[in-house]
Amino acid sequence: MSELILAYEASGEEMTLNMGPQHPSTHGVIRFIIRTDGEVMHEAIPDVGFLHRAIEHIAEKCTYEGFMPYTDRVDYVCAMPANHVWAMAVEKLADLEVPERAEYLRVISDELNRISSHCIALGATAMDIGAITPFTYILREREYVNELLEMLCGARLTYNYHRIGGVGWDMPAGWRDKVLRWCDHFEPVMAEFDRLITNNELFVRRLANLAVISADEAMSYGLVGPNLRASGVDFDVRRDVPYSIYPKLKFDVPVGRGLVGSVGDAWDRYWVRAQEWRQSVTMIRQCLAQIDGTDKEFWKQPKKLKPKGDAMVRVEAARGDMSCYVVGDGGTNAYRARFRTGSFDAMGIIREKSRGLMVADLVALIASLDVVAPEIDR
Amino acid sequence: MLVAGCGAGDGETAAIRDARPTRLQRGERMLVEASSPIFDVGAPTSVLIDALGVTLPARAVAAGRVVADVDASVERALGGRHLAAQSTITVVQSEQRWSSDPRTRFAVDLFPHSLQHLANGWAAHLPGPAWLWWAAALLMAAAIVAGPLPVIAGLIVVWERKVSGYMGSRLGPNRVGPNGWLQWLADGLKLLMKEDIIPTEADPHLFRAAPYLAFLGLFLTFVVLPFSRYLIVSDLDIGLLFLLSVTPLVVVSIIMGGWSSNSKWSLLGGMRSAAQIISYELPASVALLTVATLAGSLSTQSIVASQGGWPWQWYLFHDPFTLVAFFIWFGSALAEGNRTPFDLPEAESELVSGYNTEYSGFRFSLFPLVEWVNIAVIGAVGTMLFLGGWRIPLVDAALLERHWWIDLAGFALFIAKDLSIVFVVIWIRWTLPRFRVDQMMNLCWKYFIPFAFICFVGELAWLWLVPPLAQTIVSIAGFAIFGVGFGGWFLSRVRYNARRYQDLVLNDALGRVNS
Repeated sequence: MSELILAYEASGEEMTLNMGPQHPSTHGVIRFIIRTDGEVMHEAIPDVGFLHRAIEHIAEKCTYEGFMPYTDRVDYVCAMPANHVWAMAVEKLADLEVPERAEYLRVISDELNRISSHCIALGATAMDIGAITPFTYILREREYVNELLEMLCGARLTYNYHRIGGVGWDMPAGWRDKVLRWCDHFEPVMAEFDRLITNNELFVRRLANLAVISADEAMSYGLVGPNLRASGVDFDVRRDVPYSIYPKLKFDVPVGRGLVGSVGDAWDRYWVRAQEWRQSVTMIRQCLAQIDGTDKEFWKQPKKLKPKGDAMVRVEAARGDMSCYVVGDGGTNAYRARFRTGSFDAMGIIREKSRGLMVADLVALIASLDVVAPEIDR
Repeated sequence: MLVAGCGAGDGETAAIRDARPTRLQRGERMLVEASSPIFDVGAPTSVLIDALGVTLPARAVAAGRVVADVDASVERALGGRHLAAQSTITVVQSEQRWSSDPRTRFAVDLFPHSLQHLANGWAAHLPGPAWLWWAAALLMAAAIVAGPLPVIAGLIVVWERKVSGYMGSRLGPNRVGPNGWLQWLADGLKLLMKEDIIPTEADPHLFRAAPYLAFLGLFLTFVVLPFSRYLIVSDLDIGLLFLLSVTPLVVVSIIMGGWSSNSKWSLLGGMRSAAQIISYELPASVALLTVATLAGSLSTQSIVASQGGWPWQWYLFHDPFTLVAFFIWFGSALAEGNRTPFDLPEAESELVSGYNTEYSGFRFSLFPLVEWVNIAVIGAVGTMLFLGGWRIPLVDAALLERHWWIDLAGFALFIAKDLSIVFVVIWIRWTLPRFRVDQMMNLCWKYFIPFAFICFVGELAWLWLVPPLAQTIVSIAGFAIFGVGFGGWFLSRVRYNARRYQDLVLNDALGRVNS
């Protein structure tokens, strides 16, 4: 990277600006090398790897069960789906069955976590644009979700809740009512948040038509999840590659429509996440209505876990399609594990999309792609 | 230069014939000549003989000439002695009549006069050259004006943090002092104790000078702010021009700070600030010009005096053009004060901290001090120009002269209006996102500047074409629609949201009991 900086400095009119890894709006330890002429960027080159913790290598050194807490650290803003994808991968590898109640609890916890993750994403977008109150405002709601998840599994950020063959604990007494009560509370809050910031004229002008990603581009760069759907590609792992009990739930997949600008602009990416909040709430309501009819059993603990072969599963995490590929060689540890995460691909498109934007727009672009540093580097 | 003399002739002819020590007998005339036309002919005038402490009624016969009749009191005070040739006299002129005719100049300029008097008194009783005492008096006056600045800044900081806290469903500072109101002292002390770091690659002289220049630009605005009828440092004839010429000193300091830090982030902040403040000076000036045209004066006291106490007599509601001019001025003032939505020079999420990134300790603390006092200055300028300043309804000049506490009430009213504008500024900061640089420039050059000029020309046409009765009707209608109507609608929204707030925030969503 240093020779890159030197090369660019030599060209005269351009200024090389180092943004990060300790910059307030890069969403973690990410670094950008910006070639800029005044305020207008020629290019922003992402430099990742500052948060690399060799999680995939740790998977080879731990037992299958023992690796579960590490999956929390794959994406600590939205840890449940990472739990989920590891549990599902090992279950598929070892051909295990999961009790139905556990599936419901997994989906409820996933969706609650998705809501809290989108709270961070949307609040941080607003804050990067310069509005600070929406961030504190929506973090209040995230606090409630944290409380609910704490009641469920005792942790607020890195949950370690899912188990191979089920989940760690059943929901505590009265938890169902608390979640329903919170859902009632959250619906007007979403409407209020839209009034506060989503439709704010300044906010719309900052994000509309910014860094438009066409459907082709989105697919060729491998964008997933809300970033992909904002570009008009109607694809959701929960519906199109169904897993767990998602086939039993009714939900829409919000797709970017270009309501204020063009399809695939930064505002669409923001808006798709705001719509996913609503879908998550309806899913949680359906799950809580259906969970009563299931058995009490929530964890079929496997007696002996020495699978052989390989398995690949995908779940829809908050940042999109999170896949896990695991190879077992008959021992207690995985021979190889690999996570495929959404943020890494999102970083790839930043260099392309940053050409001709302003420095302030780069911050909005990063925020709209909702990249999270640990998920990039793992 | 003032020269005094006395003789027996009438004022016009008595010239300075006799500048020797004199007994100043009854029937003699004293003549005071100034080398430049500084007196107001016709204004109530008196001459104070400093050594005797005797005030003589006098009259200004020409702009450079004042004549006083010597009466029995002088004779008594002299007691047959001679008046020393070097004794000083002070000419005091005051405008007793208070007219709403803007062409009548306010001659109340008490501060320099009393300061001069004080310095003369010191020089008479204490050793040392007179200029030293004059400098001491000036220094004391500067301390009196500058002293409250950190307090104003500190209290506004605490207030802003509390408002932002409540807006973001937090509590804000509530530990230091009663309910957190001394938090600014703790913050200030902490900043004072920090190490003062000057980056190795920085330009040390410019780096050191920048914060003081910012402070200077802000401090000078206090010279012309009319806090009440008498509480003004100096009612300059060119008050508004003075205001417009000293405030941009802050931008010089920001560019200096940004450039000398030798940091690219600081430089970007400094350049943004230069572009922003220079651009927004234009619409702000033209909007102020609208009001100056209306008042017929650039003197800040005259502008306040030509408005009335009732809201429909304020320039805000004077006619549609001033209403628009107010919003143009307010937006431009936000931009000049680097406040959201124009806080690009220190855009936290983009430029780390902008032009002051490299500063620390006391040097750093001057920048926030300037920023927050600047909010109070924005409020004061808005109050003075558009919201009637210190004018109280139903109080006329004679009543104001009679009771000192009415002037105090005017001061309180001014501060109340000032604080309400400060609140709006804070409120906007914690609600709106930030402009992008190009959007900020577009707003200025494509919208603010043309509309400011339209307001200015429209204002002239309005004054020329619309009969006075229609003007009054429009003022009252403007107040009814925008003041009462909009205010009522707004209050109903506040009431509605306060009810929702009860549901959304105070009651715990999970059904727990809040302690």
